[in-house]
Order: sequence, then C-alpha cells, then structure tokens
Amino acid sequence: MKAARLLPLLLVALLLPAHALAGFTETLPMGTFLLDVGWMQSTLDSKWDNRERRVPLIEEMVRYEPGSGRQGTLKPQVEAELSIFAIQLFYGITDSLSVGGGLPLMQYADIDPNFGWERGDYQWSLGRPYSETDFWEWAGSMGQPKPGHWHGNEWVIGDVQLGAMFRFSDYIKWFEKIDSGMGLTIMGALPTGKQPDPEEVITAGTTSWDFHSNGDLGFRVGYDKFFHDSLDGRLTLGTEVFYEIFFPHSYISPEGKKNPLMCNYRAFTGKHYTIDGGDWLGASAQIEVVPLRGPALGTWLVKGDASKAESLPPLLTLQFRYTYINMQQSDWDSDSEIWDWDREKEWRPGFKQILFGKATIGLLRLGLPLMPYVSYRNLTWLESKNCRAPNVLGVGTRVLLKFW
Amino acid sequence: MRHLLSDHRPNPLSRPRLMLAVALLVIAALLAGCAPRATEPKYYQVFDLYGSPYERGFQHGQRFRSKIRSLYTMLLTNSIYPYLERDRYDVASVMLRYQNEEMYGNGQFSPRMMLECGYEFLKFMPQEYVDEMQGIADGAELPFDEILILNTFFDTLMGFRSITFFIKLIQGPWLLTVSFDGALNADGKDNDGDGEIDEPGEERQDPYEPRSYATMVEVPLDAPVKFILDDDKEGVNPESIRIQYNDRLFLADDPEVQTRPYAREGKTIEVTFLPPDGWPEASSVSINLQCTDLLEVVRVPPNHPRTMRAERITFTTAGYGKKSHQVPNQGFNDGRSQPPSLAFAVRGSATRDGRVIVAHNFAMLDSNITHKHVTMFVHHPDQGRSFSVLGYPGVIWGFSGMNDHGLTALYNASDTLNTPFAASFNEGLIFAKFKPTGVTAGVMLRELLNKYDNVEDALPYFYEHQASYGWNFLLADPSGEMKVVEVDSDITERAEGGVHVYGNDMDNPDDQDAWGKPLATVAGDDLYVASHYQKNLEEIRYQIVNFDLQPQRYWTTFYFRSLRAFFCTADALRARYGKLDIARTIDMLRLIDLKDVRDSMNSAVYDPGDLTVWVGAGMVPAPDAEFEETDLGEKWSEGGAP
Repeated sequence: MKAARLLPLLLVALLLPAHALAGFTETLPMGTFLLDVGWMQSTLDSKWDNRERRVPLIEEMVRYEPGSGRQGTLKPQVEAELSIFAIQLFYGITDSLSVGGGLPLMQYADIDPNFGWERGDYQWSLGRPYSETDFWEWAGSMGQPKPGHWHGNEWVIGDVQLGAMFRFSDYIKWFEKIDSGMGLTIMGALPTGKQPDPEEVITAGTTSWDFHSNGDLGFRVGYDKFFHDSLDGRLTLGTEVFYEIFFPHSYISPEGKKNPLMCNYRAFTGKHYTIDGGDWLGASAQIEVVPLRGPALGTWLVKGDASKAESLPPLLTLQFRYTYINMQQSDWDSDSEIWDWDREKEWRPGFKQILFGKATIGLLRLGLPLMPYVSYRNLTWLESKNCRAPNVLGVGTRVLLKFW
Repeated sequence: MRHLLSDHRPNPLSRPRLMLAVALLVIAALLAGCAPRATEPKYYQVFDLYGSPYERGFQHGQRFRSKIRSLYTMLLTNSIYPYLERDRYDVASVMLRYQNEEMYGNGQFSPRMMLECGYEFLKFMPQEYVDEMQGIADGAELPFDEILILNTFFDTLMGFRSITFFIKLIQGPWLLTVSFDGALNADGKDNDGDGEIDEPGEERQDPYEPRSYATMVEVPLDAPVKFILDDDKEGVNPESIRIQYNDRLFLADDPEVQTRPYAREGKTIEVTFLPPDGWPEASSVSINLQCTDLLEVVRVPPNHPRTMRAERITFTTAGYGKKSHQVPNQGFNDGRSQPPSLAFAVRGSATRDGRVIVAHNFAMLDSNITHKHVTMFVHHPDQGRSFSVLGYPGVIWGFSGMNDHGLTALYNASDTLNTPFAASFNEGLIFAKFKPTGVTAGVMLRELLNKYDNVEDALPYFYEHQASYGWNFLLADPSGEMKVVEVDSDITERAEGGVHVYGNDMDNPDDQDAWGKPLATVAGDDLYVASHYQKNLEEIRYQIVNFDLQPQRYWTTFYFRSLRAFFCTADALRARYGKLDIARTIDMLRLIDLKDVRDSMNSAVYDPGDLTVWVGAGMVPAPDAEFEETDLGEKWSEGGAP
C-alpha cells in the first residue's frame, strides 16, 4: 500500500518542468512542492566582542579568594559542534506566491568547555598560587563540580519556521522589461525549540535565540537582476534587505541544583527572566552564476524530448553571498539590574558580516530528479561585533514534486 | 522559480503603491532600529530613609530587595561561605562541636555558624536596630535570619578568621631568630636598638620580634642575613624558602639562598641570604621571608602544606645613621601585597584653606561583587540626629558616616585575638561553640552618629560598650577635633581596658610612642590610621590550654601590609601638607600605595564643616571611580518627610 502511493509521487515529480534557481525572488510554480533536506555541521569556538576582536566564546572568569586577591582566572576555550538536519517543504500556491515550513532537527550538540587556568596571586595559606587542579579540588569540596564535556539535544527539534514568499514583480510589467524580479518574504518561528537547561553551566538550546541565525519574525524584500538575453541566463545579481524581530522569551533561572556556586542566581534574579533579543536590520548582496549548464538529454523525465530538457536547472550553479546584519541591543530583564547588565554587555549593539557560498548540482537534465548542494557559511573571516562566530558546512538535496 | 508555467498575470499593482509600501517597510525598520542601548547600571546609589527605625528599614528593604538578594548570594553564598567552609576542619579539631556532621556537615557549617553568631550579637543590639532589620526583612520579603546574617557577618567573619589564622599559623613554621654575619658586636653601635652597645649577641634578634621599625641598623654591606626557622611537626621544607628583596624574588635553588639543617635532625633549618652585589650603602633595606613545612594537609582540598606568614625584616646598612626606632618598617611595593583599609583627617595648616577633611579607603573583600552594591543611606530619623552611612543594601550600618552636626566617624578592622571568639573557646574548651559578645562595629558607628554631637562627647561611648572585635575608629568634627580609638574586646579585663585613644597633639605623651614620637601625626594638624594598632601594642598575652594568644603583630597577615600603608600615608601627607583640598585628597586616595587594587570596597572624603561627602565607588579600586558629591546638609535641611 505504501509503495503503491510512493510510486505515483515519484512519477509526478519526474514530470516537473524546472528552471534555474533565481536568487532572492525564487517562488515555486503553482501546485508544486519542493522538499529540501539538508544536514548542517556548525562549529563554534569564538565570538566577536565589543571591540570587534575575535575572542573565546565564554569570557574569562576571575575567581577571588576573599581578602587575598585572585585565586586565578578560568579561561574557557569552548568548542561547540552542532549537527542539525533541516527539513524544509515549500509549496507554490500561485506562480508568484509560495509558502513553506522548515523543521530544524538537532542530531546532537557537543560542547567542550576546555577550561584553561591562569594563576592568580600567591596565596600564603597554600604556600603557592592556586593551580587549576587546586581550584577545582577546592570547588569540588564545596559541591561545585568542574563543568565537563556536554553532549545533548539528540533529535531535539528547534523552532519550526514558517514563511511565505510573494514575488510582486510578476504584477508589474516594468520588471519584466528590465529583466528583474522583486519579492517580499515573511517568515516566522513557532516556539517549538528547547530552551537550554538552566541548571547546566555548559549547555545549548534549540530556539531561534540560541541559533541566532534568524529572528522570530522576519520581513525580507529581495531584488534580482537577470541576464536572460545578454548572458543566456548564466548570471543573476541579487540584493535583499530584511528586518528580523526577536520576541521576548521567558527563561527559568537556575537554583544551583547541579552547580551550586556557578549557577545559583535565582535568589536574586527571580524565578524567571526575560530575554528580548535585539532586532536585526540587514542586507545581502548575491551573485549567482551558471558555469556549467550541462547536456540536455531526452530522458524519461521529459518523455524523451531533449528540447524540453533545456528548461531544466543547469548542471552546476554557484552562489556567493555577502550579508551584513546590524543588531540592536538585547534586553535582559530579571529582578536584578546588575545581573541583567552582566548579560546585556555581551549582547550590545553590533553587526555580523557573513560570507556564504553554495554549489548546486542539477541532475534533472541527466534524468535524476535531485538537486544536491553543498554550502558553507562563514562568520570568522570578516570582522563582526558582539556576536558568536559559527561556521556552518551544509550538504543536502532538493527534490521537486508535483502531484498532478 | 520565476514564472515557470503560467502566463497568467493578475491586475498589476501600480508602481507608486509598490514604492510606497517598500518605503514604509524601510522606515518602520529604521524606526525600530532606534532601540535603546543598554548601559551599565549606576552601582553606587544614595537613598534617603525617613521615619521610625522600622519604617526606614522597610523603605530600605523595599527599594533594594534585589540588591540585598544579589549581595547575599554573590558575596555570602558564593564567596564567603565556601571560604569559611574550608576552615571548618581546623576549627573542629579544637572545638569538637563543629565535627557534628548532622548539624554542620554538607556545607551547612558556614551559614549555621554565621546565624548562631548573629543571634549572639543580636543580644547586644538596641531594639531600634532590631526593628530596622525587621523592617528591611519585611520590605525585601526576606527571612529575618538572612538580614541578621548580613548585618553581623562582618564581625563574625573577622573574629572567626582571626582564630583560624592563628590556628593555621601556630601549626606552621616559625621564625625563631634573625642575625647578621659580621662584626656587629664590635662596631661601637647599638645595632639592635636595645640601648646597649656591642653586648654579646648584638648581631642577633633572639627570639625574633615583629617590629614596626628596624630590626637591626648599620649592618655591613657584605653581611649575610641568617634566619633560623623551626617547625614542631614535620619540619621546615628547605625547598619552600622564598625571599623577596625589592622587586626580585629569590627561591631556595638560587645561589644567593643557602639552607642547612640547624637542629632537631633538620626540622629546624638555617637560611642564609645575601644579594649578589651585597647590600646597598647607607640604606634602609627590607626583605620578605616565607616558607612552608613538609606536611601535606589533605583534609580540605586542595592539599597544601602549613605556611609561615610572610615576615618582613627591615634593617639599615652602614652609614645610614639612624636609630632602629627611627627607621620605619615600611617595606617596598612587592607587586603582590595590597594596602588594607586606611584613613586620615586633616585640618588647619595641613589643608589649603584650613577646613577639616576626613578621608577613608576601605578595603577588605570585593570578590567582584561588593563594589556593585555600595549605597549611601541618608537617615532622617524621628528621633536623634540625622546621619548618613556609607554601606550596602540589606545592611543597616556602614564603614563610615557623618551626622548633621558634622561628627564624622569611620573604622577599619584591626586583627586581634582579644575577641569573644577566643573567649568562648576559653570557656568551653573542646566543647565550646563560638559565642560572640559585644556591640558590632557597624552598630557602634550608628550609635556614635545618632547620639553624639562631637568627638569629645562621643569618646565615652567606647568605654561603656564592649567591642565585638579589634577596630580602629577615626573620629573628627567640624571644630578640628580628631581622635583615633583603638578597641578590642578586652576578654582578659585588663586594667587599662580595651580602649586606647590618641590624637594629633605632638606634645601630648598620650599621643606619643615609647620613644616620644607622635603615634600618628605628621605635623599636628593631621591624624592617620591603618589596620593595625599603634598604641594598643600588647592587647593580649594569654594562655588557653596550650595556645599562647599573642598580639596582632605576631600573626596577622595584615600587619606588615598595614604598616606599609600607614607609613606611606604619612609620606603622602607630608608631601601635600598645606595643599590638601577635596580634589587633592581624592588624588591622594588614588595613590598606588594607598589603594587596594583587588579588594577595595569604597572611598569617601568628608567635609564635616559643610556636611558634604564625596564618594568613590562602583568599581575596583574604588578611589579610581569618579567621586560623587552629596550635600548632606541640604538633604537634612529639607526636613523629615520624603
């Protein structure tokens, strides 16, 4: 029964006419589904500070001996690795209006705090400065364990993303005349992600705020310039401006159940605190080239008609994108103004400069209904400010489906 | 996918409408981009309190409910409790009650001991302060016990710490003697300052005596210094020797440091030291010495040996020409030790315009916490004088303050074993529990400010009330009267009592030391104080079981630090005599030798004549902050209603 239903689906998919990917104004043909299954590996070991310097992800923690100066400085060199599946499904309601949804599914998160130690002042009571071992032995005797490697979030979902893309330029002949497109995208996140365990020192959540790659609600206006005539459609230049909003979210304060000395601030922050992430205003510029259109074979996909295969996506498409995001101040709100500021100073207004590259292989011309791709997103090569600096490698494939 | 299948085009939007829509979107985005930027909160705050003690407490608690909680959690729970917990085993080794795991185990020793001591101190508090604390508890919606601990922990901590310091130190190595090679007993000089010349043993100080002045004078430039170090258990670890001479640290394996077994099968050792080029000519020289024993204390992690306090020896070299008591044991900036709390008052010829100025750098423990909580509470009470205290949320007192008559008072800790903590051990021996007595220092400050008009009227208060610990109070008033009051708990009920008062009269024997030098004034219009006793030099000599309780100079790690801060304050005053005004006084508090760059808590400069105070707070070190002026006289003249 199951196999019987799958077969028609596949056949329908094979019949889809397709077109090259088209930058920021891409919509699906009416009645068409697009399934995008990707896997992303994110590595994170640094952040950009308020002076635009790349520094370790977690600030140094100076520990004090009451009345006797510094015990030493804990210097975490946190290394985080996140493995995420992104499953996205889009549908073309009309040729100009597509809707879609995405489900981030965390395969796992690995975080290694890599605590280093800088010796502090000579402690007369010890006859030496504290070594790292000394410090953690002391902390351990107080019930505070040394935070170690953290592995978690296995198969935990993130915030479900919903969106709609309206290419309004289809309604304005002028855009066709100048061989351009323009569209508006609205995206929103459903709060289905998991917040980090408040009692853990080293942990990760799966909400939009935790990933910090898009807001809870976003508005994007994109523009693409095509060169169908002069360059045979091998080049698309695009630009996009966007505004992303983070809604306030409430978090539970830790009581110190697992980390009595490092995570026990509920007493003064109150049971809950709120993070109102600073909104983003950003812009992207993109160039998309088709270096290899590939053969147009008269395969079963086009019922043997090679001329129809000419309209299928090229064999190789390359995208290069630069994105600048201006981030506003994030607001932390608890019962303690002091604690709020200790967090807010890490999330002061800043900016991100993101480089993104993607290579897509269109196999439809060769008779396979797949469009595998590989992508890389970098936040460490160009200076940024007050943000984390993850780099993300992605692989995936797109499948076009049409059911009638 | 751009128009793939369909040729159908609905009615087009007009271009103007489209552009308008885009423009509105961009404007909305830009407007939203004007979100406020978070700024660092202003940590130092001034807050007025009005009415009865309970009402003032309630206003205090209600306004600072969050800060009270954060101070309690970050300072006590995260810092002091764990710190004290480590000392439980030392205390429990002589006070068996604290071995009870059910009561004091599982991290409960520190908070329980603090609370028990708090309730003991509570017995010595006038009811108005109890009411005020209850008001804070109610206003902040916190248990009274937590407020009580916040208001008594400082006195408990100091008393407890003195006992544990002492226990640790008597179990560690001791410096027995200091001597110099060379013909000091044949140089025709009184090298050791005992009034005799070239008597047998003149080259040796035996037993070693910590001094506020030079141990030896006119030492030959090539005469090595020798130390005999003893430990009555495992013996002194020869590898642990650390000698700091000026900015250079010499360790056991340096050729300048030689050790050899001296007695008791090597448990007692002799250490010989001479810097590579000998001693500098006609100079005052200081060296710091420290060592550990061979024991490895494993009861409380991390494992560590018993240590000897860093002893500082000052001496002069041939040609310096001063007697030992004329050479202060001032030491040098070793890059590590920090000055403790210090204060001074100036008037008349010391200041630029003759006004009275009182200044205070208070340092004890910041732990990256307390500087974020400094608060000045300006009281407008129903009864008694109006006053202000520079303190912390949840705490009814402060470390300094001034009242509406200009009486200014402040205090520094002055470590002592003449404390009810020692007394309680004496009474109960191994079954003892800490049972402190006396009025806490903060409440003493409040009483002075609330009940007295001037220094002369205030002094009897000290004789009428037992102090909870060792404190050095500095009092000054607009008339220029200024006094230091050194107090201890007088558990031995000495004839002279536990109160020693001195002032700035250079001709008054009460204000002079044993050699007739002024105790703490440069030129008579100033008075300065640090965190050691200048007059109360023999505050205790007492035997408890086999513990020989000694004066502070023998054991507290604050002693040499305080001496240096004290003498540096004198130098700074001398250099600025006649030029001091508020700005220069603030600058003086910022001198590196006068500020603790790690545990500075607050700085204050008072003008008793103008009823004005300038406070440096909100950062570490506190005096580096911008001083904020508060006209207290104006506040008090506004009346009693908020």
